[in-house]
Amino acid sequence: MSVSPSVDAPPVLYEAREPRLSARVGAWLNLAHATRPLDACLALTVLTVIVHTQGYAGLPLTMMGVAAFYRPALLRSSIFWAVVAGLRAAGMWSLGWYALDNHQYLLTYWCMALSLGLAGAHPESALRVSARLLIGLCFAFATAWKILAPDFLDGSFFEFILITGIVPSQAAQALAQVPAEVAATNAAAVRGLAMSFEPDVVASLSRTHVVTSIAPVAALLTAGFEGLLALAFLWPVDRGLSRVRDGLLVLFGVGTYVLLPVFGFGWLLAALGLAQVTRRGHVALVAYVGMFAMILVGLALEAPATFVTLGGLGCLLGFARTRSVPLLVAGGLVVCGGTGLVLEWRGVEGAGALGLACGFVFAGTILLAGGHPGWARMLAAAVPPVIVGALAIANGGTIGPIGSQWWGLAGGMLVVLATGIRRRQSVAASTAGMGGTKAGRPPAIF
Amino acid sequence: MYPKPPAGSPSSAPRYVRFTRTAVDSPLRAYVVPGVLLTVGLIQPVLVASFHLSPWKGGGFGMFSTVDQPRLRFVRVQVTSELGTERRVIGDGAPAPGRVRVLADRARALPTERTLAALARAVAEVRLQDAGGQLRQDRGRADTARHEGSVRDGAHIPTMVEVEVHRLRYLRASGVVMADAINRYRWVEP
Repeated sequence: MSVSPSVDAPPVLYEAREPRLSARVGAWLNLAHATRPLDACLALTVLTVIVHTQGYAGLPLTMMGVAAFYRPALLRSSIFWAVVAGLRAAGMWSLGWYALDNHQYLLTYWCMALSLGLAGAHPESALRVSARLLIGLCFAFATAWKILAPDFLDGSFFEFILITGIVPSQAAQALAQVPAEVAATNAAAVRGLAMSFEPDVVASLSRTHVVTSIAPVAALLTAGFEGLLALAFLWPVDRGLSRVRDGLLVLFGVGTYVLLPVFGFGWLLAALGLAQVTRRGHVALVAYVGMFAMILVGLALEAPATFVTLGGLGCLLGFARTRSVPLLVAGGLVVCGGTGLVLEWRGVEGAGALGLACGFVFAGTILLAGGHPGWARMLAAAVPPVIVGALAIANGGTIGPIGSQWWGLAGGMLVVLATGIRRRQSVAASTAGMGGTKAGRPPAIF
Repeated sequence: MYPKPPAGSPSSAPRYVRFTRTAVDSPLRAYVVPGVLLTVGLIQPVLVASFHLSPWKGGGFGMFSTVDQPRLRFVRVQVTSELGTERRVIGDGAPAPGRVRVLADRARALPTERTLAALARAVAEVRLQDAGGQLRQDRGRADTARHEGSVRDGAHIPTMVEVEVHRLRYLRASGVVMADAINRYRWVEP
């Protein structure tokens, strides 16, 4: 008597006959094909929450994010997202609602939508509607502002930000052929104007021919494209413009967020885009993940500190799923050494050497303690907070823009280590675990 | 706690549980959060028009649509005492004491009358504390007597604090930037 496969079981496309590496690669390829768009969306959302949460909520949210990667079932919990949304809302209130960027609002809305959507009987369909409406409305408002603002459609805004470098995008300035010294001179003139108490003072700015030519065209293209996106996402599904909505959003994301350093918004759009993809293995799923990765490249160029945080998180995640001690060692080195080097680069003397030294101590302790419970493991877990404290003291009480996330990562490591470093699971066991074939449980994300 | 009854059978769960279950399972729940976005997005332009909120802020998705962002707004402070007039500009990244910094940042994003009044009062308090601190530092020096005298006479006490918030405007035709006052407040010693 044959047993029919479960509906939720992922299709086996790549059968790995050889053990070890090929089996592992085959398992990952199967996983990639079987990944539900919503699962990928939840993973990207929690990453965005970790990286783009400010204020006092940063620490608990990062720890929750790390915990969710360790226990992926949390990502499917309505209560988890309700707590995340509540913490984010409280954090936003403490920082001042009037001082926050739009993507902070959108991220909190999306966490609320996840909480509501996952609570009901058909989460996928509810979240598809929410995501599509959130994207559509967001672009509708953005287009309205661009049309109604007095200085956008004529190119004033683009010209100003390009010739002054107010929005620090080296890629955009290179494209517009604005020399760095011209931008610096203009920025100094603007600062001088701000500092002056004399009435009716103006500052004259230097411009280049390329900038004056492309600014109005760029303004019209931007407003037009955003309007098109709003229409595509608010249009009835699978009719007219709605059919090309994914392509338009990916094109917008890659084109815009690689040029402008607003990574949070770009990632969030990728996550929202994934949530409204209808089928597994759909090309849009790969495109949105690719958009996320491309923005990550831009992030590495513009904000290396956050990139280092993500590197550490990646290693920690790898450890959590594979129980591989080398991965955790690499994570410690990336986070400790990388953060120290970034701080050194930003002017904190000695931070690089201190970070690297602590990274090696951390790695050595883990290697010594590997596979054995006891004091050495707890000592290893205590190293990251000590490093953070030392760096904070070296930097006059602050460790820069990734402070709270760093603490969260350190806390997450503590949790992972405290739960015990087990021996490596066999390849077969990890393959079965990743597939998530237990009845009634959604497949694991990683 | 209250398992779902089979379709068509009456539920034994309390009424509020049935209501919550119906609400959570309703397809309408997908529209709740977009509704919140829509509401905030419609309120934000009203705040921009009425209270000079920066279009970049407040959840209205006006980022990258205008030069008028909080980073390009600045606060001009003018403190008058018997010793003369002191002027200072608090802009993006400019050093300022803690509470003054917080209020100035708030005033640059949302320069309401209330925020400006609080900022002016905070500046006056800081000036008073500065005068006291200076007096303690100067104790034992040759000019202490004269300094103490001026503080006792109230010469350091600010009699008036004027606060103005300005924004930058870029005129593309001529390639010049100018500053426009958005809102101002004058605090006078009671």
